[in-house]
Amino acid sequence: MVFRRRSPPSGPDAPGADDPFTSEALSFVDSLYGTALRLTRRAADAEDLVQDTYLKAFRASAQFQRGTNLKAWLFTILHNTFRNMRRHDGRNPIDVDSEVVEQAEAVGGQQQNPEQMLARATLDTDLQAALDDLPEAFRQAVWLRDVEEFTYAEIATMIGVPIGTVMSRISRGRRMLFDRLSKLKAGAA
Amino acid sequence: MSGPGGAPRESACRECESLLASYVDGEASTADRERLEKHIDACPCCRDWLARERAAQAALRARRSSLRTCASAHLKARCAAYAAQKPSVPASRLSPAARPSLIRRWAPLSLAAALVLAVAAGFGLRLTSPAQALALQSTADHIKCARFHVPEGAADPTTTAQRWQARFGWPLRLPTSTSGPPPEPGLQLRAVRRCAVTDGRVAHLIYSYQGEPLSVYVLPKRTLGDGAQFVPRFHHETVMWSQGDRTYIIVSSAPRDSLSRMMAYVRAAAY
Repeated sequence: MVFRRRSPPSGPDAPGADDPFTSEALSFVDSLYGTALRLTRRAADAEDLVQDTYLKAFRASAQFQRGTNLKAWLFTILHNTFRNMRRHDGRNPIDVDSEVVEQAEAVGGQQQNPEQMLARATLDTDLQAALDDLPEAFRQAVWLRDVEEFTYAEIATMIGVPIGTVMSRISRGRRMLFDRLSKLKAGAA
Repeated sequence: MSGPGGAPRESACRECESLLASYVDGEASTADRERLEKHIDACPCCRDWLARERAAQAALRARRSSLRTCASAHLKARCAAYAAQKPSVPASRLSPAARPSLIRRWAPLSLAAALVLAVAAGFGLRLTSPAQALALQSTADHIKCARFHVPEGAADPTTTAQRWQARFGWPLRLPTSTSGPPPEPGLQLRAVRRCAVTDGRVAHLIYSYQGEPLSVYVLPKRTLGDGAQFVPRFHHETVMWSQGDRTYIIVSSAPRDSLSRMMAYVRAAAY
């Protein structure tokens, strides 16, 4: 049995490159998907998250203030959607366990010549694994800063925390990432 | 041990930590940079923190491009199709006073539903009840899913219900050929997905019914009365009601009498 599916919009009324909002919004799909993948760590969930983000963004497009940062606006929708999904999901609640963080930081704190050590061909897969292993709040902050290149203020608006907290999470997240990479390297040696 | 200026070491280190990210990123002010460098010269612990943070930042930035993942062409096409959802009326034409009052009026609904109401006001849809807002939201989702999310094969109700419970923590009682009401001719379960368009707690059961896609939405809360409300939207028919601690919404482009038969079926099954 086959459904009679409606075709996607086409013709003169279809969304296209002649609509600046649409074309600019769609130019960020790779960034949104990459970030969704880091947040959810599952390709199917990441695709759902990105689709819901665009659905909400296009429906609410009239609320976007022209001249402001569209990428940051889309990322804010992405994070709010993700947070909402997780809140009702019951799995892996978003948490920042300071004790765990401190313990994690204590491990590997005595490494020597850290820059030299990491300069030795860190594999992309190791880096991704180390990133995925970070607690969510730190993974999110580090990713948005160092990969997506958002400012502290943009990240603070996106995830709804003060700038100082963003900077602290970035700083701690990077050190935790270093420690995890060190462990991976030590395990491979 | 004391930090710069005789401050207690812990305090100086805490201040150092708060500046580390901006220092590593080259965005600290001159005064902060000088203060931090002075402290780092005297504090091996913070020196180590700085080195670790700097190394991680450098590794991330050097591999930025390879860390990024491209979306599939399929996903890009689906996202592009959503542009059709853009309202044609700019927000400036909505009455500023009307939007908050709409949201207050529909407080029992999700925030997403309230957003739909605000957007719907832009469409001039003249929503006058929560049922109409739910009908709009569920019909829009049904149309989207009928286009993108319907697998061709049948889904096993027992396995599907077990997976739902394991993943989302609340039960769905899906009728099977041996349990529940007599099977409805021409009805086949295709998939169950969580509907994130509403408030993320809605089960969306996707059926094939007499060759047409049909959606049953199950909300794990009581939102409406016991009586059925029929609301037509976008050339689709919607019927909704609450029963026990659940609310049910059925959406299809099938005629109203077909929808009534499905309603009787769902009422008897009490998903």
